[in-house]
Amino acid sequence: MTCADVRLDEYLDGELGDVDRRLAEAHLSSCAACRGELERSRKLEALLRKVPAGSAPDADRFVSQVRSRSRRPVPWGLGAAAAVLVGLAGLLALPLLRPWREVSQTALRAELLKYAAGPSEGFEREIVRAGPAGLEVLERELSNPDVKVQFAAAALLFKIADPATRERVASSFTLRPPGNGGWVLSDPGAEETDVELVPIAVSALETGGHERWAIDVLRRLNRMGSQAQGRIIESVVTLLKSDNPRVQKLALDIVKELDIEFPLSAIVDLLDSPELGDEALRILRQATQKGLGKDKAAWRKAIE
Amino acid sequence: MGSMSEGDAMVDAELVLKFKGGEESAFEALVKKYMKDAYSFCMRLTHDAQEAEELSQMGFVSAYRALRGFRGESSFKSWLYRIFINHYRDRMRRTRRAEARLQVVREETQRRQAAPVEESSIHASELSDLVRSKVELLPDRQREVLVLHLYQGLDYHEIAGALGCTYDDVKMNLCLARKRLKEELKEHL
Repeated sequence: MTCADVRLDEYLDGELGDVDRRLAEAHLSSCAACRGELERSRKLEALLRKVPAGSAPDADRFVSQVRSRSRRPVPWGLGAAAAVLVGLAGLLALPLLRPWREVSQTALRAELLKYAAGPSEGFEREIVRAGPAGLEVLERELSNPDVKVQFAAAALLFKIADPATRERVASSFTLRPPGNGGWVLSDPGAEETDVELVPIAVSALETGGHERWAIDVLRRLNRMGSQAQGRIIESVVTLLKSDNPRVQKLALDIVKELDIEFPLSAIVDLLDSPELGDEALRILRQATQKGLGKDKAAWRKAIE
Repeated sequence: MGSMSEGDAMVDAELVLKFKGGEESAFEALVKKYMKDAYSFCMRLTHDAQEAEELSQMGFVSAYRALRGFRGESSFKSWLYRIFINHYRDRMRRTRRAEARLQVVREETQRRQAAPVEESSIHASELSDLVRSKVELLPDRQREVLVLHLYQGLDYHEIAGALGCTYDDVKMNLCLARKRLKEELKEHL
């Protein structure tokens, strides 16, 4: 083992397996330079540990305050979803255009999993054609134990359902009563699969009515790192290309609010929009520190 | 909190299960178990007692609201730290205090550089302030990894779970943080 191979930090932190640890020890016993480096790391650690953290608050008072604050109503309509969902089957018992009730759950879930991986317009059209029965089967999947299926169902509902159904979906993003299972999103971004919420939030933006909620969810998901950011960028670029100025404006709002490097070329395309050209120009200037006007060709050249 | 044993993780899992089954007192037990570590973690990040208490309380409140949906993709401890980190980042972003905090540290560092003290005469509390200011100036991810590892005692896997990054990211950021601190504090090592 050479000095370059010895993983001193991992050795110091007890992260090496038995074999690697023994190899590191053997190297250290014969290499003064690495022993010196290890010693410096230990001294640094000792120095860092001497920095005081301050004493903790009184435990009883702390616990009691957490208890009382936990029982305040949560912002997104605590627990309403389950009760609403119970009555849903009756509300949607309308004539079927297609035999959607007969669709096997396994087949539907397989489709939803595919949709979670990449939205498909074909599948969306199928559900729309199925009418209320299509929405009904989707709503049932909001309780599916597989979160990807839940997310895909919710994303689709946001995209194609009527406002009342969308309202129910939004409400279900909250704490559910004990024993009801499903996901809880009082802190989106706390678990890896929350990244699947990106399309739901984006669908909510597109359909309107929950814009602030959706941007807040995206902002929180943005904390999750590159995987979520990649999904957000992908979605925002799609929104920027929409032919609906309201949706394009929302996409620009996300660009402004989230600290992500969006592809500027998608923003250049908005420069000749009567409604959004000025805003797009401001964003481009801020991102590049260049003082160009609304000449799209010049901007394309500048950001190449 | 320290790197947790399997037994410890099982105790947490049992408490989570009890809470999901309707036993509110199980959550209280989790708060009691983790409150000191949560507070010290928030204190290490904010250096403001009032803010640290507010952040740690709100982290537990979020955890209470989200716990029934906790899917166990990581340990309860990593998940809990992730909630604290999320709250911290939100708060910093909202209040724009991160920049203000860094500015204070920068000014402090400039002052020190303008009037260097003899090493022998540096008082222990001054040295602590200096070390703290160097940690404050680390890039966010390096600082978070360092605090979680050194002060909260999480192992690399637990840190990866708490920060939503890979094991290799943790390794790299910890290595970069140490390298930088060794350089900046070389006179005291």
